[in-house]
Amino acid sequence: MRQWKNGMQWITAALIAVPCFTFLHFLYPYHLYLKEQLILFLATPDYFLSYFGKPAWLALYAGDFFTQFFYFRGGGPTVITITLLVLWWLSIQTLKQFRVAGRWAVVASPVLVIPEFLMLCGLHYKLGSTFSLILALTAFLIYSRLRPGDSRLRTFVLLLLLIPFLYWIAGSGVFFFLLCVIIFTLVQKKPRIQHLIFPLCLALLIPLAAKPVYLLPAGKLYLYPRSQHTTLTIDLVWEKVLSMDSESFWGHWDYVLDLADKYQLKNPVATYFTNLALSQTGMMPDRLMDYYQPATKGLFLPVSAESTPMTILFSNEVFFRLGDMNMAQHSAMLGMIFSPDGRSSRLVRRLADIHIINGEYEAADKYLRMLEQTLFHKRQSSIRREQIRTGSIPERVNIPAFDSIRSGDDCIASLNILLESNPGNKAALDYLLCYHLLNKDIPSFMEVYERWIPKDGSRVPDIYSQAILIYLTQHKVPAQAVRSYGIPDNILVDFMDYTRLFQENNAQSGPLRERFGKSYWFYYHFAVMVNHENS
Amino acid sequence: MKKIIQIVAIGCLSVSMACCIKVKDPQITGELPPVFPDYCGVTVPVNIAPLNFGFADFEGNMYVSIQSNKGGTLTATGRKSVRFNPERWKNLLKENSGDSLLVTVSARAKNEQWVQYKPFTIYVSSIPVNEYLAYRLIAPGYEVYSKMGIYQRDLTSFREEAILENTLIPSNCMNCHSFSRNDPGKMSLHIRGPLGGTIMKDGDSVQIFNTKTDSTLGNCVYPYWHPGGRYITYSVNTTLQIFHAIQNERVEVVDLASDIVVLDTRTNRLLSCDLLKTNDFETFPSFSPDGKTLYFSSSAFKSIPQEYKEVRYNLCAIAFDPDSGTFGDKVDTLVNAAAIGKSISYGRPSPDGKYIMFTLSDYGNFSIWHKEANLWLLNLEDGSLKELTDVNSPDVESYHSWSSEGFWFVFSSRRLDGLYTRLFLAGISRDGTVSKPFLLPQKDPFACYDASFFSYNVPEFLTGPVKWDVRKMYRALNKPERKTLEYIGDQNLIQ
Repeated sequence: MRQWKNGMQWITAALIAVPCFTFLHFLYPYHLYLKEQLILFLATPDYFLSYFGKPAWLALYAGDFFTQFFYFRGGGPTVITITLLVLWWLSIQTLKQFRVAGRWAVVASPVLVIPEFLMLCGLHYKLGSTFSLILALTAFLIYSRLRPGDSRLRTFVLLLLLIPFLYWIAGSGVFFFLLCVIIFTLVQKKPRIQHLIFPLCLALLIPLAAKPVYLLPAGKLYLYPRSQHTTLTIDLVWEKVLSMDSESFWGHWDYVLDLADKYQLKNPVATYFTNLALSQTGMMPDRLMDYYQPATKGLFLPVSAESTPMTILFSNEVFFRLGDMNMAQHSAMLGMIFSPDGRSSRLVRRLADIHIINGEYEAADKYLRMLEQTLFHKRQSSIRREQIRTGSIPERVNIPAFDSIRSGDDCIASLNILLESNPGNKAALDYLLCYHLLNKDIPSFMEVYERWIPKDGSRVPDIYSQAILIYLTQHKVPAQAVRSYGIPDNILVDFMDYTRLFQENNAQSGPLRERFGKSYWFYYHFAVMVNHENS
Repeated sequence: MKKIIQIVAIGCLSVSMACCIKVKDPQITGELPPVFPDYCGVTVPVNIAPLNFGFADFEGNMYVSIQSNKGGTLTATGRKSVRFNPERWKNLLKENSGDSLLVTVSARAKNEQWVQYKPFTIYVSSIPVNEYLAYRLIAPGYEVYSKMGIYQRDLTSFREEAILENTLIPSNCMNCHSFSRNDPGKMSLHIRGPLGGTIMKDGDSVQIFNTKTDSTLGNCVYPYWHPGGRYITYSVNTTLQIFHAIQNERVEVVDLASDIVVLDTRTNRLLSCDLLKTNDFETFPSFSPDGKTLYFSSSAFKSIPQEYKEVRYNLCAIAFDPDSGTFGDKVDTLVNAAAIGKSISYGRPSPDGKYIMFTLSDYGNFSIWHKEANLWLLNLEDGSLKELTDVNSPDVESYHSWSSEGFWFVFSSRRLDGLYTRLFLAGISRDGTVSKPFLLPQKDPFACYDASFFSYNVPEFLTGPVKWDVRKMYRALNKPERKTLEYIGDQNLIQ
């Protein structure tokens, strides 16, 4: 019998561990990378002490410590799998205390583990919340082992000590502990419910009493460290978007385009990274229309009261890659402020880079020293210090050389400043031209085109050729002048075909979609501009 | 068990070795030690917390000895920095009030010889500073609502506690904390956001005001209490945030329109006059210590954003009668900064009324992001101007305020890294002589300043800690009721 039970335990453990690890490792790794990027764990005494400012310090400190290991491929899945196995084992021990027979305890034990796994799949659910549960179950097992039910005084004293202590180290886990204590008491032969009135009141009052110390609203005090935004869903679409984000952050542009081709997502954030990859590989003017384009929302992510913390986090990427370091710094700083803990290893790295490129070494030094106090970002700091020492900072060529002002959401002004400072900044030029194209603003496109692109006989990219033809047609420019733009013959032929089909079908999109669905002409005629003022 | 004993033994040995660090055959150098924070030659108040310091990017041992002329010695050892015993420090400063201390720093990098640096002095002023300092900690993120708080720091120790954090009131921004003559009992604090309102604390009473009226441009900001405690002057501004392109400059917050008002807390009226609500820009008001003059910055109207670099504020004054709540019939220009191509912000009179300290920058009023912004002093007795070169740096010096005795002042500066504002304290004698400023002491200055993502903002001295019932304030803030104000815009003129 015992052998059978042990075997069942091993099988259940395997049924939890193998799918959990496999899923997280192969299907969900980018969520876990981002979770690591959203914390900054420093190995310093003051950082440790900073956890005492809010409830659940031990659960959160331990959770953040282990979240660091998500940095490595396989690190996140391993940590989460082990954590869930510990939770599972504690669940079995707890169920046994409730007089649930061994085999049924093993069968019922995943009830706690499965929702915890689903919640951990969400970006805003911290590993510390699971540690809070683990601490609660551990406290309950200690409590039950001491068998306090035999003595009213012992129960009273034990709970008087355990409940505040547990709230201090595990936050809302104390309520789970209390639930276990209630069930434990009820299943006793002579349940003494009256013993529980005091601890119940104590547990309910402690968060309120702690309000002036922790300065949190009542709702948060009862939930901490759990978030009100916890979900029980696995978001595989968002995982795809995050894969494009992470690969962009690491500069794997070709791979980002492979992912864009594979996923074909109709999501502004996915388009944002696709466009960034197109611009970094020089393919933007040829392949812009190969992907879903939600007007200019796929070029810049708005930072406003309506933005989510994630889009604010991503918003600095485009400015950083184009060379607008002031706007990149602004966005990165906002991203940091709105990240769950107000500090993020990814954004500290980005801020260090921005200040190095700007030549502001004292500010960069502050961030590099922080990275040096982490376990796994030290190397990045060394690389950047070497960069400072050698003075090899190629990105500096793109930063603005003269001052001008603009509002925070004036992307056109930003791009113009970059071009005025460095006319060779092709990425900025493509962004500006495509910005006008996606806005269907052909006159502005032509103005920029005429100013910055010389008619030197070099190949005109497909999308630009198509836009130029729209302009020339609208202005009834003679054929001789059309030739001066150097538009490839195949585009001219396509344009005539498109125009003919467009007229023959009374401006219906259907007959044009198959052949011209990825042309700028099709976008120009049929894309519907929605909520344009926010783009 | 054996292992535990071994670990404990090693720990004890390390501690005892640290206590017994002795400087052997040091190489004497004529250079001052490169300590952070730079406390060489500073003047400090007799009641200040220990000036713990260390060496940046250093690994090894440090030995610091502080000797007094009266024979007392205080020593401390450490690896990267040293921490002085707070009780012994306190006694040493008390015993040497009005005298100098000689600090000798010796250091030995790993596997190298001890180096003994040239000793430096710390002068202990017998004038104590106000015991508390209130400030806002906020990420330098340009006017956004996220994590921030107003804190108070006991300057005689390292104790810092929150007066209010916006974790308690999420999605709300806190700014403009202000106290009547450094009195922690009389405080006003503005909350922006869904729970918006101006908290007015007078003793145990807490009231929440809506300071926006139909006749004013917006909510009341930049508060300054009248010495009598009855009035608070504010500016009301319509602002625009704009960003620079190059790395040396960052952001401007410019006024599209701005006026000055005075809140009468007794009648809940907002008072103003034609001279304070012109088409020009008026901002940063403050009262003289006798309460009979209202100082403010004023600039000619300019089109924004086209002429943002042409906005230059002068320091002006207008008479104020606290009995009737009326204003004078003329505005005096005390400093015509625009004439020399400069702009004045934060004019703050000294408690004795002899000086006005202000920030001078090239243009505009957002001096907190102007690297050229420096502190200056106007002597109201003889009208002379003086740049406070002893406290200024190549980076930003901006917001400042006075301790109630009028000797110490605090100011914010970005001199450490060009990005985060930190607080510096300095003393100023009656004749305007200024001592070398010192960075607000911390238990571990490296950990505190290096690991923080927050700027210290709007420092204000307090004679004691702010005590309030957070629950009471929270309840009041969560109720929809706000006291409204009646606007009286023609309070001219004192005859």
